[in-house]
Formats: sequence, C-alpha cells, structure tokens
Amino acid sequence: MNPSEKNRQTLREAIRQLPQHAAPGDAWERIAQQLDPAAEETGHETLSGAVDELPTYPAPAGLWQRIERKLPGSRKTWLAPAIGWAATLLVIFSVWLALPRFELIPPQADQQTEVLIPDPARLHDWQEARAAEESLAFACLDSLTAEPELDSLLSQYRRVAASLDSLALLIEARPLSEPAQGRFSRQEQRRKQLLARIQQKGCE
Amino acid sequence: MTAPDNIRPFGPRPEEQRLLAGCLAQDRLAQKALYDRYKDAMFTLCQRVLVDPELAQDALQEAFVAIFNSLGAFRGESTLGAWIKTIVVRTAYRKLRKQGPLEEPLDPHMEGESIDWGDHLAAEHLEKAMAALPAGYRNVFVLIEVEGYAHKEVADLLGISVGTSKSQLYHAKRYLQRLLTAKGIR
Repeated sequence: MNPSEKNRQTLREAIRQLPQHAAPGDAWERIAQQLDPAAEETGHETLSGAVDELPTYPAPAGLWQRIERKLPGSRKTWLAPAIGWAATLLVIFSVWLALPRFELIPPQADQQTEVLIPDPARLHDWQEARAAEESLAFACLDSLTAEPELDSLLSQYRRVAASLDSLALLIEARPLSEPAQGRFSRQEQRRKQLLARIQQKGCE
Repeated sequence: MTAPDNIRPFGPRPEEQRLLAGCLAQDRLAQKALYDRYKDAMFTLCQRVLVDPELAQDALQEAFVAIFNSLGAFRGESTLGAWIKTIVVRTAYRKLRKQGPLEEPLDPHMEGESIDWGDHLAAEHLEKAMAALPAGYRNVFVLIEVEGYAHKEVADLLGISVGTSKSQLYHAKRYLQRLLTAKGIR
C-alpha cells in the first residue's frame, strides 16, 4: 500500500466515524407548514362534508336600495345637484327682487304719501309744483269714492284744513284768476280744469 | 397555438352578456338582476370572513358598488362569478385588516398535534368554530376550504406568499381542531 492510498483510507475511516446529529424536534413542523396540510390529516372527507353542508346566508333586505343610491344615474346623484342649483337660483332671484326696493325707494316710502303730503320747500320749481298739484288732484278725484279716509288724511296734514285754497297754497299754486303765460299755459289750463272738477265733486 | 383575441376561454354566456350590457348601460333592472344572482353567495362569504353581520353588509355594499363601477374592466378572462367574487374577497379582506393586525402569534400548545377530523363533523359546529378563529386564520381557511381557492390564488388575492397561505391554513386547522375538542364536539 503506497502512502497516498493509505492516507485516503485513513480519511474514509475518519469520515465513517463522524457522529450523527439528531434533527431538531420541530423540524417536521416547520416543513409541514409549507406542505399541503390535507396530506397529514385524518378524515379530511369529514371536514369536506361539513363544509358542503354549511348554510348560505340571505343578503339583508334593503341592501339593494343602499347600493342603488351610490350608483351613477341614481335619483340621489341627479337630485342633489338639482336641489343645489334650484337653491342658488332662488337666492339670486330673491336678491334681484330685493335690490330695487332697497336702492330706489326712499325712507319716506310710498308714492301715495308723497303725493298727499308734498313738501313746500321742495316745490320751488313751477313745473314740479304743477305736476305735484296735478297728481294731488287726480289722487283726490280717484279716491273720493274709493277712499273715504282721504279727507281725514288731508286735514291731518300740518293741521291745515283740506280746502282747495289751502291745498293750492301749500303747493304754491297760483290763484285761478291769474292768466296763463309762457310755455306752461297748457298745463295751466289743465290745472284749472282739474281744480274745477275737484270743486264740482266736493273734494274739500 | 394561442387563441385569437376575440375568443374568451371563460367568456360570459349569452344570458350573462345581455345582463352585462344592461349593467354597462346603467340599466337599473339589469344591475338588480345581477345583484340578485350573486347577493346571497357573496353575503355568505363576507359573513364568514368578517363574522360581524354589519361589517359583512357594509363589505357587500362596497363590493357591489365597486363591481358596477368597474364592470367595464371585466375582460372575460374568468367567469363573471369568479370576477365578482374576487372583488368581494378583496373588499372583505380590506375590512378585515382595518379591524386589526392579522398576524396572530402561534399558540405553542398546538405545536406537534396531528389533525384528526374524526368520522363526523356537523356543519353548525364547524360554522361556530370558524367564527371563533383568529381573523387571519379564518380568512385563509374560508377561502381555501370553503370557497375552494388554491394557495396560489389566495396568495395573489391577498397579497401574501404561498408559504404564508399554507402556514395560515395549517394553523387554522390546528386551532379549529382544538376548539372543537375543547367543546367536546370531537
């Protein structure tokens, strides 16, 4: 036996005498976790049988309505924007309605009051005076039958009796006898006619 | 040899195709018909995974809204039912995860036990025991043993590894067996 063959034999013998280590106790568990558990089960058919007999649960009633409300094209999806638009339009319309009243109407308010209670200080202009007088006359005529309180209202004006003369004085009207002149002659005529009608109707 | 693009191996049947077309056109009757066809099976799945009926109802609602909203993405690569179930499973799983972490610690007393289901196991006992399982175990058990998914499918659906799916199922069964034994059922 040459030296090299003897060496190989010694090595083989040493390897043969190496101790055998035991596998760790949980090695199989670790392996089994990675395998299909059904392979190591007893009575797997029992489990399958029980699974096959498991009941089916009915979906709750009313769930479809909840789902439907969340779908595109549902009543809710178009109703909500529609309500939004309607509310916006309503607000805009309300503002539009309210704005003219706030801006255009003075605190002393309505037209009737302005006609019935002219402020002499504002009536220096002839044309304005006549227009107010005409309005007053028309208002008086129109309201004789429709508004019996007119006389009372007129008499309450600055505690002045509501006679034609006093009215004429209040609005700085010229006397009836004064001849018409200038470019207001036609309006003057008209004024006379109106005052005559008022006298006939007895608006005093 | 590959199939032409217009041939779908699992394409919807003519009746389903009409239903699908109606649903895509937002036809409420078609949508209701589709819902009615799958509602009970899908609610049962949600109920088994989530246990809480209120949560299951929420999951089913969310899932069907998602189904109707994404029906246009259905390519017929699986059956319509399988596609719907995928969405329901994912929705239920999302809800389950919101309830808390799913990685329950292993029960050391269960190590080394062998699984023996015996000769008979009543469905009602199994149902109750399943409901008592930790959420992560229960989810995988329901999907594989009850719904018939493979580990690979569960791994894809839930975004976990195949090994995790197998491990969860293994422990689910051990846990189940222990629960049933403790109640004297087995």
